[in-house]
Amino acid sequence: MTDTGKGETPMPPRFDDFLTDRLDGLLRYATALTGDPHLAQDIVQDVLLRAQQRWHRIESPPTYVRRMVTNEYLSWRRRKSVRSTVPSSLEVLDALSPPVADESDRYDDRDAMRRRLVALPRKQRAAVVLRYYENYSDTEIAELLDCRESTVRSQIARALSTLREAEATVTAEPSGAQR
Amino acid sequence: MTTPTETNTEKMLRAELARIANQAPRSHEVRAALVRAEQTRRRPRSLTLAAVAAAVVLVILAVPVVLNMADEDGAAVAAPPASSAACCRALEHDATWLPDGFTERRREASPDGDFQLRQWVALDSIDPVPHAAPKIVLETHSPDEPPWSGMPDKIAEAADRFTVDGRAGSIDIASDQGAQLTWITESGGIARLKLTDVDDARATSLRVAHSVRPDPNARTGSPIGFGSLPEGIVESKVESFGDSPERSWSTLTAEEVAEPHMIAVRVELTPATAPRPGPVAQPPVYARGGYVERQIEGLGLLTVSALGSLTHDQVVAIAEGITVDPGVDRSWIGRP
Repeated sequence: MTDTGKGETPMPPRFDDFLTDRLDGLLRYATALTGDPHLAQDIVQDVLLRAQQRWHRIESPPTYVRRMVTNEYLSWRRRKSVRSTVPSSLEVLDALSPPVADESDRYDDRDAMRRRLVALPRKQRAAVVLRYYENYSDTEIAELLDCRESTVRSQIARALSTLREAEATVTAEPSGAQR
Repeated sequence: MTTPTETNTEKMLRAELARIANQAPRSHEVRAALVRAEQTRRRPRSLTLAAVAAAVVLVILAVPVVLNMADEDGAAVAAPPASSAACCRALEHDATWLPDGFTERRREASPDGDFQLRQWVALDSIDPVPHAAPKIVLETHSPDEPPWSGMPDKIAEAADRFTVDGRAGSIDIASDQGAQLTWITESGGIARLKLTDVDDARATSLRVAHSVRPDPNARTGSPIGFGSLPEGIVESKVESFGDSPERSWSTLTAEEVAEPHMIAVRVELTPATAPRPGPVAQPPVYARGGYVERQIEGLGLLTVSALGSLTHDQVVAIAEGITVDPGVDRSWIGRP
């Protein structure tokens, strides 16, 4: 149930309602985008602080806020330089580690994919996150990134080409026991 | 939403993005910052909101209660007494029915118990890439803090409602694969249930919600806890998660008492893996690039990261003061 911000539920009329319904999804999107939970929190917080002040003038908050988060990520240059104690995004995510089980022979494949994802140029990464995490269409991605659809297709194609080396076969895993 | 024509690379990409998104931070800190910003703008409300913010950092010691629970063999063993210690915070509610295949993977709690979370995950035996591992999350929140204090009114106004033993609830979101329910618990708290990538989500979420009962035995199960913290810093949350007791993680977070309550310290205990380069055992604490690391015999690597203005000596002191209890019960991790 990814929060796509595309109107699955009626738009909350108040800022508090928006937070209740959308904040978790925004943080997940920002984390997928940045690859760094700390940076994701900074970006989402900054964006919402600004949006809060002009909330009554925002026509479509889900779309508007998501665009702001994306733009903030694309132009982000400063925060990490002052966070000297925060490791790189890859290290952060490695340290936190996923809470789902995986067979050990998958780690190399996943690690390779994650490293290439982190290394993608930001606009390429934004395009693949919008496509493969948020399930946006080319048209929607182009609108959000303020570019042509052909550019979106090109960015995604280049990103996939970079990521292709991480491709590997994985095996099925049995589900757990009945509660 | 994998499509039939997608390449393996694209499937792996979806899976990895979902995993990364799963590491998203909790929303409390963002909420708190926004409340504070609103408070600053609306002077007349400032005293009330400051009181609420201050209440967040109060540590309320729970009355220790010794209870019984069954161990793996079904024998009755004493449950650790509930307390505000990171090891033993109570998770006061449990879902007594879940769809087949779900195992518990995560528990979180604030020191005062105002926020509690349990998460169950199922791995899809058909999909070779468990990128969309179905998840069920049960949260409980204090009704004394915004936005949860407004939840009873919101539930009463909701278009799609249900009842749990006569108590009102709202179906906030319901689609084929996802649902979110909010209701008032028997103790007056606010429960929120989230289902992600679960089939027949509406009906399933309602069945899970109706099965939620008080749980006197569940504890956070963190083997680490803060010792003394520098003045002006208090613990804000403990998390334990993993897929088995042997492959589990614990994190502790502490924040500044002063506004804007920035996170000051994050401590992570990661399971033992391959030896890391550099000095490890002697001395047991060392600093490298702003981190302080400490090997915990039999448990793994402890990493203390200062995110605020703490000095190196303070971070080292925090690392040295971390309490460790390898005997904490983590048998719930990976269990149905």
